[in-house]
Amino acid sequence: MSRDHDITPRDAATSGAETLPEASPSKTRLQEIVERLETLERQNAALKSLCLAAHQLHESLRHDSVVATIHEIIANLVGSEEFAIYEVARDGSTLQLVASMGIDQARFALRRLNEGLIGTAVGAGSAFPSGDFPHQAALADERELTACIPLILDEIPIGAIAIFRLLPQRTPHLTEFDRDLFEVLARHGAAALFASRASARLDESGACACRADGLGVLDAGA
Amino acid sequence: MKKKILLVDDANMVLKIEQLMLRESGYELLTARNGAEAVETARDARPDLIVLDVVMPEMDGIEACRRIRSMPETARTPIIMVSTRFEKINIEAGLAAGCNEYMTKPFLGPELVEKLKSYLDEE
Repeated sequence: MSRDHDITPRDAATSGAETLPEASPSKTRLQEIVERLETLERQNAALKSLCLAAHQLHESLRHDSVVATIHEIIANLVGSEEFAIYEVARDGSTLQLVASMGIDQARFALRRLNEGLIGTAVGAGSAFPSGDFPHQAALADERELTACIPLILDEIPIGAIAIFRLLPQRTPHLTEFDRDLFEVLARHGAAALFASRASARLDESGACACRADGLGVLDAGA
Repeated sequence: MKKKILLVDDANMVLKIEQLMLRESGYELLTARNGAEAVETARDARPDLIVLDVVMPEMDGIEACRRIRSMPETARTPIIMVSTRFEKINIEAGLAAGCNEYMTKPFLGPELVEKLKSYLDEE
């Protein structure tokens, strides 16, 4: 039985074999390939999750469904049980809490735009933390804020997602995947919330009464 | 014959991610949205493995796990519990109810796929 794979470099030298690979470099190469494959698998899984998150955000025009999807993304993909989802109120100067988990709802019910970390993130259109986030002092109840993602559509502020503590079993710092997910939430979450609000207003006005029949907003002006 | 996996979670997002990650592995995937549905599907479909969320409406994963274990037809079915609940007391409750493994969320697909394969491919 051949045992070539067990031949050491010293054996090879004494036996006159010149091209036999050394055992340890081969192992290292194999290890590199395995690690590379694992990285690719993780990247593939991350991409699938990001695509699915974006897709899910646009699955419904119902406001409660969109909010529930944002809720699921933060709880299950980011891994947080202390967060708040805000929408800009009709007056345009305040953020109203529309959903939350694990926080004091009364305390976080309202935020003013351009005040504190959450208000500033929305007012400036910059995520917290990020390189372009303006210098701003945290309000007393924002000291445990891990991230704030402003939801902006065509430069119009729609809302914000404030994430306080992350689950202790996950990586304690924000990862590249988290940031990619925040990007998806910022863009698609804003568009989905805006569309759900617009849909609700059309429903309120009765202009979209035919939507249930599949005729859609095309009939709104008819 | 394709091996059957029952995925149980009340979060639509989680179910879809699990389905997406496992689609290429060649398993037949069944889903349930709460514990009661999981018990019923497990009894009727006899899956080869169950991935069970813990916190769910109607019947939670712990109770569902107990009931699945108490049915002769599913008494030995591997059950992997997945949850955001990481506290020791929750993990012990899951194991006491009869789960084989307890995984904490969030996780990306590869960890789950590896775990499933370790149970399904050993037969």
